[in-house]
Amino acid sequence: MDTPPLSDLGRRLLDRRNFLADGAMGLAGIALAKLAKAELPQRVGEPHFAPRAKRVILLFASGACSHLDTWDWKPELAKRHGQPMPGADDLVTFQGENGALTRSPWRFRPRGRCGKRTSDLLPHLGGMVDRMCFVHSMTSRTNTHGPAENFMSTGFTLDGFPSIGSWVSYALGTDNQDLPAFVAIPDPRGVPQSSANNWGCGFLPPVHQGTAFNASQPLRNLARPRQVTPGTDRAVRDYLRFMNERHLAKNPGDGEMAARIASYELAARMQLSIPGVSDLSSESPKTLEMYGADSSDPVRAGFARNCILARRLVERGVRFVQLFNGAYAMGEGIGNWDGHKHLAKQYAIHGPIVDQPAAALLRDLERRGLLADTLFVWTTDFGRMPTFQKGASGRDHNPHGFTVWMAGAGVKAPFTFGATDDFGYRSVDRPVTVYDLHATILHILGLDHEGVTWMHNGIRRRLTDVHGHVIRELLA
Amino acid sequence: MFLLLRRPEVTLLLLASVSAPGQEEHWSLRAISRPQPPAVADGWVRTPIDRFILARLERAGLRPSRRADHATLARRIALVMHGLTPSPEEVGAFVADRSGDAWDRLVDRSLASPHYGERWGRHWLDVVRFAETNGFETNTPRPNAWPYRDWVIRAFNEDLPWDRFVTAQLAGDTLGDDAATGFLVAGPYDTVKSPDPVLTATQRQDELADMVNVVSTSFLGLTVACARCHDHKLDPITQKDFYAVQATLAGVQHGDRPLRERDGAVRARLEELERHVKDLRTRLDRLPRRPPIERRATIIDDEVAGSVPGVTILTPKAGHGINPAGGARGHREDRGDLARAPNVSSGRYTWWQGRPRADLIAYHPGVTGRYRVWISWGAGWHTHAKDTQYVLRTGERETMLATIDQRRFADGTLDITDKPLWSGLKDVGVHPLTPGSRIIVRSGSTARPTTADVVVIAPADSTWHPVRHLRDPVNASGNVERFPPVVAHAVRFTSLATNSKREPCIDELEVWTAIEGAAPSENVALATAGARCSSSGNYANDPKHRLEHVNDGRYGNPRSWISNTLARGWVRIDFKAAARIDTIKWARDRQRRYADRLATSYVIGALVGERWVRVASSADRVPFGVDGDGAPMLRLGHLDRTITGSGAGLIEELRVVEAELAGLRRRPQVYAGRFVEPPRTRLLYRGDPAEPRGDVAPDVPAVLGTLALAPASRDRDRRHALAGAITDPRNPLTARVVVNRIWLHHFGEGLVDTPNDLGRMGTAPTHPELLDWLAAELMDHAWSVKHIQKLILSSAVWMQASAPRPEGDSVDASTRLLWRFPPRRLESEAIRDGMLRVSGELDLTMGGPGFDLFEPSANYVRVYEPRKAFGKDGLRRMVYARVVRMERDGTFGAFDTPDAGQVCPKRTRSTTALQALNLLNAPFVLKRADAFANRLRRERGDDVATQVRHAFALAFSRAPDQKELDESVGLVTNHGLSAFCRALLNTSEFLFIP
Repeated sequence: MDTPPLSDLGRRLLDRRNFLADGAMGLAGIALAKLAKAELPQRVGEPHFAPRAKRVILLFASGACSHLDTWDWKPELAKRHGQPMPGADDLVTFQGENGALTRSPWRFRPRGRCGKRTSDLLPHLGGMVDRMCFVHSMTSRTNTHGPAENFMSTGFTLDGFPSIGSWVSYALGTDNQDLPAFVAIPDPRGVPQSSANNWGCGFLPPVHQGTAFNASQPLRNLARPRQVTPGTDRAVRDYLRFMNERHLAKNPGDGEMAARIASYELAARMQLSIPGVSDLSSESPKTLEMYGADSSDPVRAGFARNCILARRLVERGVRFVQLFNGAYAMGEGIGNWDGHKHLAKQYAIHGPIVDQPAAALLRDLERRGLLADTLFVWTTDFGRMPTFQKGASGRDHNPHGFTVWMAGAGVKAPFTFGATDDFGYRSVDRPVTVYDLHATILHILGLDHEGVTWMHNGIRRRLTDVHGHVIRELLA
Repeated sequence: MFLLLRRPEVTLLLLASVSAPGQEEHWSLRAISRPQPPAVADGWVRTPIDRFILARLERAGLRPSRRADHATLARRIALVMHGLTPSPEEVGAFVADRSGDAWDRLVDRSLASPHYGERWGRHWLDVVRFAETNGFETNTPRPNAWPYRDWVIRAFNEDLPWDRFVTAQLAGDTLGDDAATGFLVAGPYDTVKSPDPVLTATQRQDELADMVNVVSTSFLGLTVACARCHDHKLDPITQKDFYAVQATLAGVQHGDRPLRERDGAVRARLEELERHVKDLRTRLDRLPRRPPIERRATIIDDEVAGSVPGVTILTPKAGHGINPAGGARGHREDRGDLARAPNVSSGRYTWWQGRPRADLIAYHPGVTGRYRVWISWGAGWHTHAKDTQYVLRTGERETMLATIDQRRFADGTLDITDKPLWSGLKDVGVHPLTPGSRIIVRSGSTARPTTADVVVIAPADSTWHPVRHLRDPVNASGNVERFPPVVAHAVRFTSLATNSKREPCIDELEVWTAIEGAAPSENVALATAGARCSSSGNYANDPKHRLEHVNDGRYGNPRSWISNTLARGWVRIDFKAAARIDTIKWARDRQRRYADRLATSYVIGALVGERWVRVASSADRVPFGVDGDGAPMLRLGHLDRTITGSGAGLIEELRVVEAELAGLRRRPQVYAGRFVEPPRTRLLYRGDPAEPRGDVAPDVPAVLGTLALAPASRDRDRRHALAGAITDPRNPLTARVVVNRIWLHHFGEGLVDTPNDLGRMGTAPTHPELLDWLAAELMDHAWSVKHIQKLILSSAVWMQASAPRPEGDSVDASTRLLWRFPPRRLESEAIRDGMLRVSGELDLTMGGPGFDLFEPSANYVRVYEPRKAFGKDGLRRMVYARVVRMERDGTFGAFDTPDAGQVCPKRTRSTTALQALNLLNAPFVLKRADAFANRLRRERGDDVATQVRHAFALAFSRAPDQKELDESVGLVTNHGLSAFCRALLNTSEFLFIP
């Protein structure tokens, strides 16, 4: 099947300035939410100022990946191993009481030219430390996974608010003609706790919702049904266009009906482009090996393939890729970073799944020059406690301090910002909120976080609610 | 200026104006007057509505469009009022009807149809973000949420006056309208709780803020929720107002409540069934019994450690697998069948992280003799060990009992669902046991997880068998213990555990003598028969509960005994003389009013000579709770083998009757909230629960007056007063908000296009006088929604053609002034229903539990995979699909279905490539296309042109023109009828309201 040509009508519709004055644009340039003018925000599709990055890959380590066993080196914690945490008498966290301070089972060693210490759990990523811009003073508003995922992905702990990717899609539109602006790549093991709310569009038009697929599971209903031959499929589309154009002729100038015709043309283009981007057969054996896509462990190989998919998507102009590491179908700690009971054993499984593929993705982006205008963000639900839980060998939830890092376009590297206390319990040096992180990401994309808004239910909503400050110290 | 208004239940002070000095009062807060319809030329006008519309058009220099043709009108009214494509017959009848009142009659028919409520009820469910799951991370189902959906549909169909519609949803529990308050708790609910008090307070605050938001926006069009952290920037809503409204709802909690809808017919049937059961039981009792089994089985639970029988944990466990609720195989309420034992595991197993060849747990049977042993484990997960060993160790000797594949059920079948299931019992043979014997579970050769669950033992010489001889679980209203006759001086009933963890209660303990010759059985425990009672201790100072009540011959809670120890306690009855006994009967409350304090674990001993002999216990009963649908688990075990015919027949009849009885007795529940007396409400600085300030009394926003309620007023009074203030005819917002919503769904856009916000952040009405006229008309006609709709449907503006005209487009491209009827794409529900309608498959069954759009899942964190195939139950209207929060239907969800996370006053209407892909390629659509094609063949035979004409009539309510006919025939001839039908289901004409 060759690429169906765009009709004159379709081409006109794809040009957003000729499109209806009150249409909101999105998915591959063609979408129409016929809402009243009063509900539409300022002009969409252009950044507010010169962007530092054009695209984002956001890696979400689902289940709350412990900062104390990965990125946040705490010599004092190791020194006081086995002692009670000072000032933590009667401290009750998410699952209950806490035991003694417990050092990480993994050694932290200096890495890269900068010599920053990261743990042996993630040696490949540790090797990229010179490219990383760390924020060690992150805080969250909640210590429960679902709300925390919501918070990190949408800026609200409740369900039903637009995700950061959909805000970006809405603000900047798409950079390509036949792929969605925002793609979510769920882990090969399944979806995170808050599932589709992580890439939902909330009250924004559904065109801005993240399109979810990964390297092992294709987009639903994308392929021509098996029982329909290509010839019949073509004949059906031709007849459909005939009928729809006659219908439009009876309603000349109706934008919604015109948009429907164009949407079928775009669908045909996506049927060609998405299998293309998901088909990794054109990748060299060397690349597959670098990512670990040749691993005999199907989960590790699956995540590696997702990392390659992420690169192929940004290569083709997808604006926002949300890449999940970890899923919740099997409960806490089993397919995700929620190490309450047996942290050493569980992290020893999860570390290698994310480490080599994610490091390879960073390296590959850099090698292909993509890191120059792509921002890479590592994030998670919240942090974990410096203590082990009473009667268990793992760490409870800790919203008071955790680490995210960024790499690539727009950020200083190597760089470290903020700090938790001596044990890694609480952010003490320049605490950063999720709102601040969101404001900073939007800023790097050339957007003023206070200027990307949508009127909903009487409130002019934005990603950062009524909060958020750009952390200028992080900017390159 | 103050107006004092007295109502039976509420005193409402209405303030005529509270605007700040110098600030003009906002339009929506002004009192509703009844504007005079403007004088315009009469020619086009059909109703007063048309005068307002025409006057505004004339001011803009526009003329209305011509009237739409009859077929278009018939299609439009069916789609808008019912969300269903009209049948060719309906359209044909209207087109042929040339009488003057043809349209009026069609309007009346449309409003009277039950499909009206299904369509318009769904619009309201959007506003209240109704869903049948909790949302948040677990997103578990709310199986009892659907009665609210049915209530809403019925309310619309019965044209429940809007003021009563509002009141019922806020305080239906006080009106005997239980399902209606589903409104209050329709939103998400975070079920994951933590011991952290700050988190808990924040969660509760979020819940209440969500309720405040839905109440204030849905009924009042006021965005009170803005004021959670600070005074509203634009509207006259203060932070205090927010907490005042919150206080009116502070007694509302999420959860199920019994549904009290009982009518006389149900009661009569209950009595009839009770008589029938009594009769059947008497007849069964007369059948000859076989001798009771001497020594019964013992269930050794994997979680009863440190006692005998009991277990010792040898390796720290990783946790427990909880059997999913329900009666399916291996689920918690699995009742077994003729070949399998019911679930006796208490619903959970223990599991260990993999460590090869480790001894994990030891069972101590604590008996001597030859015993048959049954083992069980947790099954169903693909990760479980495939070679777990069961070893019997006596002294130094080890005997291998079995090597088990723990992924499988006990009978070796495999059903990998990755759900924590109970395996069932596996017979591992007869073995000699001594008090030192241990049954040990040893992990397999790999690191796969190993599980353990109950072990059952029974003497080898008994005929006990788990399928036939496990007894029913204990029952609050009556239990019978039969045993081989013993001659005893006394019996003692010892409770070890109760269902409610409270002190055990027995209303009467009866001890019956064995029948010998002609002598009848007699209750020797009665005080009147000379028996004396004693106990471990008695509940203090309650005349209802006294020791002597346990054998006074009177039943029921007011004549019962309760122990003075939580869960435990014993009561003993010494007979006047030794008696040969074989039956003991006991109950918690034979009057069936109470079911708490029931001894679920107990031992009954008889004093034989100097020795206590155990004659009965709960050890051979199916554990309490395994009675899924409430029907009794009747077994033939106690009947003599020769009684097969009549006994089995009676049992079967009893089973059927008792099942119906249990169904009627079980009080249905509805997810409509639970009500408690509210705690104090305090203003929270910046909305932070950790920063409480002064107390706030329950009230409406000051702009609407005051409820004048005391700060400590009762929950129901608060909600009732709130409803009174919202529905007070002098409240200018309520009527404006509802007529605007009605207008929105008739024309695709409201007169105010921010239907949840009539405040300053909202937009001004396009036709303010019309909005007020409709609001006044609504209140003057007893808040009848259908009255307003009849006016709209009868108007010339609604009957206009929809085709665009250049002069209209140039002045008013978005058609807000209604110079034509604005066509629009149908919603997801109407598209799905429409496909089923034209394919001839639509099942119009109304009401009741919904059907699933997703594959079943029992994970802790629910995973919703779109359902692959839809059987008969899935072909109902989409309003009856179970609504899963935050998950949209795999095919139609892309058509802007709200996700029920936040309130949705109106849906977006987008056009996307994903919609096109779904309609072209989804298996659901292809199935409908095939069924549509079959219908055409079935109803019109093999002539292609005839088939095409029929298809057009069904899908478009019109005939094809010659060019369309030619193209269609060409497609059918070359590519088949299904291909043609697939195309029709994708056309704009099929998807748009004309």
